[in-house]
Amino acid sequence: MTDYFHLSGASLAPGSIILPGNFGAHDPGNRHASHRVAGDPPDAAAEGMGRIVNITSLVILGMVNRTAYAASNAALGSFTRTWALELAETGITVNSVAPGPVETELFRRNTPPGSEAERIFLTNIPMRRLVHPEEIAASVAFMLSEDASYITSQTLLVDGGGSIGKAAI
Amino acid sequence: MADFPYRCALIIGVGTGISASLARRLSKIGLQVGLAARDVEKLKPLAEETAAAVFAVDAGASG
Repeated sequence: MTDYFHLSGASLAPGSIILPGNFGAHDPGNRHASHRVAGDPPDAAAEGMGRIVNITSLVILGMVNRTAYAASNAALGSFTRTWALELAETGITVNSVAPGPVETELFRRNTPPGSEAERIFLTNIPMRRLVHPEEIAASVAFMLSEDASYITSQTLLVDGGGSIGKAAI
Repeated sequence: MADFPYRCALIIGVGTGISASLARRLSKIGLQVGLAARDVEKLKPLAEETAAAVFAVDAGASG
């Protein structure tokens, strides 16, 4: 029997929103696929306004050595589109923000300044710099704002031009 | 600053990077912020800074 899931039935019980069904239950990369929610969906729907912003990644377009990480983030991008449909009449928008390489402790653990790994990352970023967490937070804040009220199911690539020539418009 | 017609925001999967920046930004706007992560002990400094509530959530847990 198929286990259908509709976001309006979601609760904040562990796993119920991030992992509808059995997706990625054994995929360690999935732990990186975090998301951001403004308002518990059922409560927000009752008030006629709400926002869900998922953080995905530029690597959804493809990157060597990133099979699990790219797939789990791509799945989150797919959740975004399904949830946008399911919640379209509620006033809750659902969008993704997909950063390029972010200057975070986690990133720097594997990619020290001046390293070969950093050089390879920046080769693929036309602006030739990492993005600061505050720049991603600002993009999320826009998606959360009332001004973004008619935008839903979109993925905003905040990537210093890293998707140019790789993503369809 | 754009308008935020909400009272609260829940951030799931909080660490020290994007999510921490977002928590600070939303807290300054005046939203009640909730922080969720596997290890709530690590959230304490950020929770104190942003006056946020914390929740333990493990997306990898089964059942």
